[in-house]
Amino acid sequence: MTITADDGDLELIAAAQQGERSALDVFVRRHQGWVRNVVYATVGNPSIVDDVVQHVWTIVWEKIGTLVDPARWRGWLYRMAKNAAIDAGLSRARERERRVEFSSIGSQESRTSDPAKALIDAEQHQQVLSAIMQLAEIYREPFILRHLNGWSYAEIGEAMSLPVDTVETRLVRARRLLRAALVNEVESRNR
Amino acid sequence: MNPNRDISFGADDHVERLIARHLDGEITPGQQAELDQILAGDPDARAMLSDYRQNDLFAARALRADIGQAGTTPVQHTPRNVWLVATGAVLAAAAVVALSFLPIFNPPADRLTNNVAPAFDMEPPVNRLRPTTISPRFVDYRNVDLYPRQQFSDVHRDLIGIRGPDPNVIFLFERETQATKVVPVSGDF
Repeated sequence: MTITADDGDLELIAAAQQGERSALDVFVRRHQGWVRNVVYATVGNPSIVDDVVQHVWTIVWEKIGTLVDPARWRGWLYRMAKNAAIDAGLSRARERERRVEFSSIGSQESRTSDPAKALIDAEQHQQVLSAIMQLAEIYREPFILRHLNGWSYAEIGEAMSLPVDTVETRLVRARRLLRAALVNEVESRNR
Repeated sequence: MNPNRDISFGADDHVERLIARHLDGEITPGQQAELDQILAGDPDARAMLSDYRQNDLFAARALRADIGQAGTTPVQHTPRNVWLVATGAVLAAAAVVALSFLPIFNPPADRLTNNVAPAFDMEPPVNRLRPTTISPRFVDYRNVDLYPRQQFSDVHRDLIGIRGPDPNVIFLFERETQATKVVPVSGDF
């Protein structure tokens, strides 16, 4: 998935600015995926992502007339998604929920159900997710956008209004911190 | 642990940056040659590459599985997703009929005579996906029109149904190339 502009994005935006709801519908279908991932990268809790995303598109519909430079629509849409997620006040809730989930991982070890592989996979997913969600936001966001959207450094930088070098540095540090967190988790379980 | 604490792993930052570029597909041919040379003589760098590659794989899987399970928000029905749901229901019903002939779903007579409810011997693989209240609104009416086409262009999907402890509930196992989802469905089967 990329955010490279498909033909017609600017035309859709222009039409939406003139009040054509159908144009915005097409625009939503084109970009729903990565907007959803941006919200997810901020709130972390998948069960509330769709509600926030719906709110994002409502805001976009209300404010698309204020988009002065349509050529920079990606950064504008990214900020809409990001701000909606923050305004929802969900980041702190995410931290609390993830910490609870992280601390409860050990309690699942005693389970001996037959589909052990599925359970191991689920635990592994939880460990990795917990480690990702405990990254500082400046590292977590580009990491998630890279791994969910498959965006290049330049695409992440365009959306987040960051220099490519900064994106690269943050991804390097995200990987470093993630590795450390997972190593610590394994070591603490082996003690 | 402070999640923001910066930690070095022995290989210097330059090597780490080359490894990251390699994994992200951002490396130039010249940098790739340099990295190959470093990897040939540096076990720390090889270990770092191996760890990062594995973590990237796990992270992508975990993130996709995590965000993929969202979808409890009702979406507008379209002929396309209605068709998907209908197809899933038919497949699930057929699977229930077929599976009802297996011994696992036909408990021995002594279990029934002791007034013990038939056991649900196959737990859904990921229990946390199961909602606390099962109702039709948890059916995954995935509106494919709301997702980018490219996400579905190479996805193979099939469904099987497993009867749950509630006779009116079956679990739909939706298998894709990237993940297996367990979706509880209730209804008059």
